[in-house]
Amino acid sequence: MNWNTVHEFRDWWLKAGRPLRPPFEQPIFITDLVHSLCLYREGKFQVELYIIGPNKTSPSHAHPGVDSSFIFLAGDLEFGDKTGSFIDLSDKQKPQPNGAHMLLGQTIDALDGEMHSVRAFQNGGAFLSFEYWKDKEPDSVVLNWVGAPDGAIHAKILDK
Amino acid sequence: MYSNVEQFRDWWLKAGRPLRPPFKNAIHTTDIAYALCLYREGRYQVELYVCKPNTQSPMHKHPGVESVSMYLAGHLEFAKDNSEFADLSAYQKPQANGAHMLLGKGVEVNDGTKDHALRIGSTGGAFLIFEHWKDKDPVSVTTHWEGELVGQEHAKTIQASQ
Repeated sequence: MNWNTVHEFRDWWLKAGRPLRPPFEQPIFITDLVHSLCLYREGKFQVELYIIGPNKTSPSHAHPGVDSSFIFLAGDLEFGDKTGSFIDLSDKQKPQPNGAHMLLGQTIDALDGEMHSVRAFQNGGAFLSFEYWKDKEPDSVVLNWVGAPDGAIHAKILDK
Repeated sequence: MYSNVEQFRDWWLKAGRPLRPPFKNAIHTTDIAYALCLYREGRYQVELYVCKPNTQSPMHKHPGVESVSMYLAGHLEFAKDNSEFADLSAYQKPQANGAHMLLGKGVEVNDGTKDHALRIGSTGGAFLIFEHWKDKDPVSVTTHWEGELVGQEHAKTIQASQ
């Protein structure tokens, strides 16, 4: 496939029936904050699913050389912008008539390695991370990380 | 649309794997896994489990829940009610397209009366579990659990759900 941007890849994956093809190599990462699974990887593009445990916050961080586009899935999750401020989404913590979260499908970008952060309250949270790795082959943005680690487990992974 | 868990699984896969986690009770955590409900409709749902490396669940069952699991990634082995784990070490290799050789393989339907268990190898593991809750509305098989618990976090999650 010939995607030129992370948005083209994201739109293709959604329209193509959300193919599930985790790679054999390095599909899963566990840190103090998250459990992640790469759902699909092709060339320099991939989509990772992140599940965040309850009451956890990541430090502000960046993924150099990676264009990221996030899609909200579930939970009481908030993203922080490049200034480190979190967007207050407390008034959107309610269901749609079909039972899904009001924020399901909402997107936010962190292009060109822009700083960002994430936090979840008591229900935990989940989102998709669509990624275009411009400089190297993808593994996980959990590894390609600039900023303080999530905690001791994450620090150990980054040290390897 | 579907009248048993296998029909639900086949429908979900053919319908383009719709992602519609519920607002209520979407995410559950234990000492060995984080789970996200990807889709719930009536008494049916599909949950995705991402499991920590080098862990194992005790034998357990989910009464009243008919389920069928599908392999996604990593090194996972399932045990049936005889407590013996299937040895899948010969399949720990990639297909030509880079995916795991076991991707998409299913585990036989469990009607909720049979014990089972899960063992995870050094790379961690991930699977889907399609569920038909015959007696009540779905929450998570993590909280609807009969048998020894996985650990303290599991106990806390069950307590919070009650």
